[in-house]
Amino acid sequence: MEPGLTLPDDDDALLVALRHVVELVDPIPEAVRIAGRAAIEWRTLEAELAALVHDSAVDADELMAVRGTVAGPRSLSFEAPELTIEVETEPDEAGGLLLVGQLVPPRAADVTVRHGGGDLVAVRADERGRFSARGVARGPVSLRCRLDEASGASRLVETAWLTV
Amino acid sequence: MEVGELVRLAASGERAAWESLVERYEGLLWSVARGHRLDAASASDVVQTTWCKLLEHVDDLRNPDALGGWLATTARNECVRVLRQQSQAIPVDDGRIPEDSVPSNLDARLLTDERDAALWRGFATLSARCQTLLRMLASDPAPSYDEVSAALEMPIGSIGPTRGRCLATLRRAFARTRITPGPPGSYH
Repeated sequence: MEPGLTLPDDDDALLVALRHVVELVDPIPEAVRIAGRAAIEWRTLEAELAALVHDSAVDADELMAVRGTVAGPRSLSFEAPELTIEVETEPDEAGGLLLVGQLVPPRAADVTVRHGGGDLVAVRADERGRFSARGVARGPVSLRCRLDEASGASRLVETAWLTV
Repeated sequence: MEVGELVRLAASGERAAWESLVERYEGLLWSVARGHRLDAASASDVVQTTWCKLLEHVDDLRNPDALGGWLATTARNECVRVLRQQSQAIPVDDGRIPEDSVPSNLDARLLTDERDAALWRGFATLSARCQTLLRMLASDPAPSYDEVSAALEMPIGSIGPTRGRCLATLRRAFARTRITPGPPGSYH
């Protein structure tokens, strides 16, 4: 081996050399750095959190082991007190995602699909609690639901973020 | 400033505190996502989802001073979710992640230094487990073993020995790659 083409004997120094190489070959994209700093805009102040309780992408693993593949849309369920938000996602014709949702128990609501990159898609859930949103970009997504209450007031619920 | 204090300030809307947290941990998150062999687009999504989830829970973290471990665990779980989703989007025989989902296009041509190029070629021959661990350990700033343990579900006590074995393998791979040319398509 030619001189000068050796690695440091010390493991810590070898990791530093590896860090240098990784930073050259696979640096954090500038867009990732910018988006991370901007994410604070998504800080939630007054909303209730609807936790993810089912994700077919994860929960269907055993099924997949049997069948080899899982056909159909991905189904997600989020739960908050006395409210379930069911969502199915599948690719739409424009390269984005189609989100079809159902509020249980059914009720009308303003639903905003929040994308971690900063985009918003606002739709209306009808009195049967059904809504759909087209052209949702892949990436981090959370739904903000402002539910119509009988009293004329409203209740604000946001689903946990996840990558779609 | 302590991490817990930055978390508290970020939770109250202090933008500078939030940016300090992102600065401190984005390298860790990127290494976790890439270490799990996500492509750049999916890795970007996982990092951003992790930030969003931190903001979702910024008021109810049990131990704000252990934020790095929480972030690493959250990113890891999200990586698993994305990998499973991707593996279901294409038919697979056995439910495992296809080997060709590995990001293979990292551009070694950027490495003009011969030693760097040989080191990268050697690194690419390591097992997935070693690549994942070494990428995390090489991130800047270096993560604590608590954070590595959280991200990889690896007992803290086995990180040091595994690190030693992986680096020893890397040295041998480096020596080999100095003698024989790399596989087609890699840097020469």
